[in-house]
Amino acid sequence: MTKFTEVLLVEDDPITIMVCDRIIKMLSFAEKVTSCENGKIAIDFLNALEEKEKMPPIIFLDINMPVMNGWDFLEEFEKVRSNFENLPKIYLLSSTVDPEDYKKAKKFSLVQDFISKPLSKEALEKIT
Amino acid sequence: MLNTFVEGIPLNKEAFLHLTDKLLSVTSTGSMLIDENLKIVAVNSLYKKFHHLFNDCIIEPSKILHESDFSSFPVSYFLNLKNVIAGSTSKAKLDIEYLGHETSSFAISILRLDQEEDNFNGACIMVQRKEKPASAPLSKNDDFFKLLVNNSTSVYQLADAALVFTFTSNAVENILGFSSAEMIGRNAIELVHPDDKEQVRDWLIDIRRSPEKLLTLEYRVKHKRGNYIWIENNGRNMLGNVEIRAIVMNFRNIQAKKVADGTLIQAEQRLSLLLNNTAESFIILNSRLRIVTYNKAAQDRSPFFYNHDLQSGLSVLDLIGKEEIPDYISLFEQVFKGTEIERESKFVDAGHGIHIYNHTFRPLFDQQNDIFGVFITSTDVTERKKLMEEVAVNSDRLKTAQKIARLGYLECDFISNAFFCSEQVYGILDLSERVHNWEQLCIVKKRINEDDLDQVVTGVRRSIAEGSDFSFEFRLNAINGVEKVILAMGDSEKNNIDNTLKFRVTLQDITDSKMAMLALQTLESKFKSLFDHSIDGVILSKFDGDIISANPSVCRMLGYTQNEIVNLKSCDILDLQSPVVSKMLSIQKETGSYIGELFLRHSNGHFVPAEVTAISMKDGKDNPYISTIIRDITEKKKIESEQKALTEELLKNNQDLQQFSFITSHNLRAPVANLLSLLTLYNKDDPNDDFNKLIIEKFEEATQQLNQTLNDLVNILVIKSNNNIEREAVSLASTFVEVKKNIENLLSEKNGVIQTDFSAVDEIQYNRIHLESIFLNMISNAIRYSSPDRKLKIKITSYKEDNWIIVEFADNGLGMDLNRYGDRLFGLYQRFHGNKEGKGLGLYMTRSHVVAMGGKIEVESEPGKGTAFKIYFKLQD
Repeated sequence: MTKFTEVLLVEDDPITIMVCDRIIKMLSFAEKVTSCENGKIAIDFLNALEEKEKMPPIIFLDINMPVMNGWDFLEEFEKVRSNFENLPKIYLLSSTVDPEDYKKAKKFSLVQDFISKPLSKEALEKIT
Repeated sequence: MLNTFVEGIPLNKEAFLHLTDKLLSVTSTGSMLIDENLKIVAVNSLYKKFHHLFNDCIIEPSKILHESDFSSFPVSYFLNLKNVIAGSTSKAKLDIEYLGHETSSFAISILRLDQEEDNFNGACIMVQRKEKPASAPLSKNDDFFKLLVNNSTSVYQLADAALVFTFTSNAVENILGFSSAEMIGRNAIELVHPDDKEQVRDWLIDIRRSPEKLLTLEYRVKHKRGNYIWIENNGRNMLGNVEIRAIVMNFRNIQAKKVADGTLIQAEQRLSLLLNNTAESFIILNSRLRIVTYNKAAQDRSPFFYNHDLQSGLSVLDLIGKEEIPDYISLFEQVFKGTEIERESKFVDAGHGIHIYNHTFRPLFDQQNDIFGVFITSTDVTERKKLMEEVAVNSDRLKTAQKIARLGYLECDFISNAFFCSEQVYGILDLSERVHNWEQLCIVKKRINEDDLDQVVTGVRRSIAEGSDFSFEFRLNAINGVEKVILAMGDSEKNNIDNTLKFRVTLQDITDSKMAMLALQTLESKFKSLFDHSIDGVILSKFDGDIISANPSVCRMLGYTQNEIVNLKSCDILDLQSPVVSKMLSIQKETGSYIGELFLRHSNGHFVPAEVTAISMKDGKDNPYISTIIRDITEKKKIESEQKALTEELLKNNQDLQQFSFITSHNLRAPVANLLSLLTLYNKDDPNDDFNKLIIEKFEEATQQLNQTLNDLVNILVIKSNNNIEREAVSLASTFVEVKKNIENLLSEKNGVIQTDFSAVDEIQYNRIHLESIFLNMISNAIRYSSPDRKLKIKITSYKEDNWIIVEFADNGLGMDLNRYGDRLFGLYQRFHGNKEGKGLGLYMTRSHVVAMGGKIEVESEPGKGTAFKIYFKLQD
């Protein structure tokens, strides 16, 4: 029995994508892992969902990405969130040590927490 | 001669005289012989008896007769006598009526004696009592009478019973100015002074009532000119006399006498007035100490002094209290010995005011120098006493004031030779011995400072000569050797004829104030020096803004001359529009002072930054003014601004470094995290697991990623450390040629063209490798982000602007939204395109290169149109 139906992984680094996908599935954290390599693609993906209720309940979001980074994604998503019935829990997945990033994260109500790379078993177990 | 008496008898003179006497003594006719000089030669007793009826004069031989001897006779007698002697007529006959208590008539014959022998001439007068009245009245055109009265200085008048004048002698014209004709027909009262009329009327009535009686009255009569003349008129009622039948009047002018009498009366009246109105009281006592007389003041004060009214005849001792009598007796004894005595007494008046009286007792001497009485005067000296006390007090005060003020006073009286020198003078001039005259004082001259001596001597001499005021200071060597400064002020007094009477001078030791003034002057000169030489500007201005004075520093600072700046107002150098200035002025007004920074207008129009300290002050005359100290802080401001820029740069560098460290740690952690994750996924139990192959593959990839990141960081650190970067003259054109070789393929793939223009600036002082890296980065970025819609065009130009050489790289590529990415454009590992080639390192590296060499980089871009980067190289000195 998996915890969540789907995880949306917004991440540009292929190794990180691979590793996350593997761990999530190993631990039966989610049935399905969908990855987008930057914020723009993720927004497009979400906007393109045919059934709005199929919003992935968990999003793991990297910050430093080309084209549209994690922050820009959050701002864009805020603009369209009213279109969705179920809103996801967003976890920032980053190696950042910049305190400014932690402060910035608090501005976004959907952001639940920071998860330091690499994504670990312990981190996943905390998410309910 | 004498034939008339004794014919034919020759006689000598003595025998003649003897015979004459005998003859005369036996004759029954009153007879008198006189010579041509009116000297009585012989007279008998009958004549004497007759004569004495009229006049008491001595009638004896040898006496020379005068008019006065006939004063009560009718004037005609004497005149006839004289006429006969003078020979104008040889004989005269007259009748004289004696109007005394017995009425008698006498017939008088006057005979001229011929002078044929012995040169003797003269006259014989014979008098016989008549039994019947005299013949015709005088008024009937008697020439003789008229002759008589008209030659007299007295005026004779006849008036009828109605008191109308019927005759007036000619002398009237001399006295009253009217002719005798003008007087006839006038009433006797007509010309009388109005004040005297009543008296004259009474007198005339008396005359009419008293026939024959001689009545005299003095009164005033109007002169023809209109003024009044005093006359003495003798009137006699002769109306009853059958020959006269008139009132006879005889008056003479007594104006002179009256004036003299009037003066005396006036003087007496004045004296009486004076005595009775003076505040000084007088009492005169006789030798028995009884009051003879006293004045009003004495009467008024008597209850005061004596508790008794004064009264003539009272003994003064009756007025004195018994206990005082012995004392007064001894006092009067002294006075009667000729001593003048003064006494003082105090009395309290009804209003309880204390009066002080000074009494003087003086002996009165008669013509024989014997003392016949005492003259007592009493004067109220209360006021005088008070004044004297006041004078004494004021004098004391003056002395005290002189003492306190240490003011000396010298006075030299050239007339009396008196010399006065106040006590203070001795102290001021350090005189050890008393000086009693001007010469003695001149000893001081020796101690007067040589430089001042001439001034002192000239000043004093001029004052004495011209009577002028003077004031000068001189230095004097005091006894203790210290020099004193003395102020002398004085004058000289002259009389009408230019003689100097007095020389006066005040002296004051002004050493202390002089020293203080000197100290003040020194202080002032120090302040002046400070004012003139201060680096800081000082402006003194009035409250209305007028500049009173400014020191050279201000002039230098603001580009004005001293003359120019004092014609300015504060508003000429202050920017009144500036809120800082408005604030300054209001603070200055409220609190009286202001400290702050503002800008002042230079004469060339520019503003000079200044630190200003303004304080409201008052000068010696209590006039307010503002003292403003100005410091030019241009340099300070420049340094401040440089420091600020430096601080900002340091802050930015610091932020950059921090950012760099965050980013590097992030970028190091990412591959490490991947490696760690891969390790956990590795199936150690089954190394041949298919998935393990993929993990190894990814492991390799992650390790390389880590290595690349570390290499990048090393490169960045090298650039940032900026140590010993060699500069050389590098040609922009050659650099471009060099770089173009490396990107030729990329450029041709995109079918791009590059246009360059380095004509304005070609050579810069820079590090060749860095410059090549910059060119490579800029061009490769332009190629990488070229637009697929148009042929790529890159334009590279160089030019100068201020202290910069600018190289501009402009392309017509994709462009970007700077509002969105501007702040991150030059960040490390920042990528904005999904292009796999970019790592987000190029622009960061370029900017690091530029900044490390003191330059900067700017960007302009528009999405869909292109981007232009401007790289600023600092122009080397």
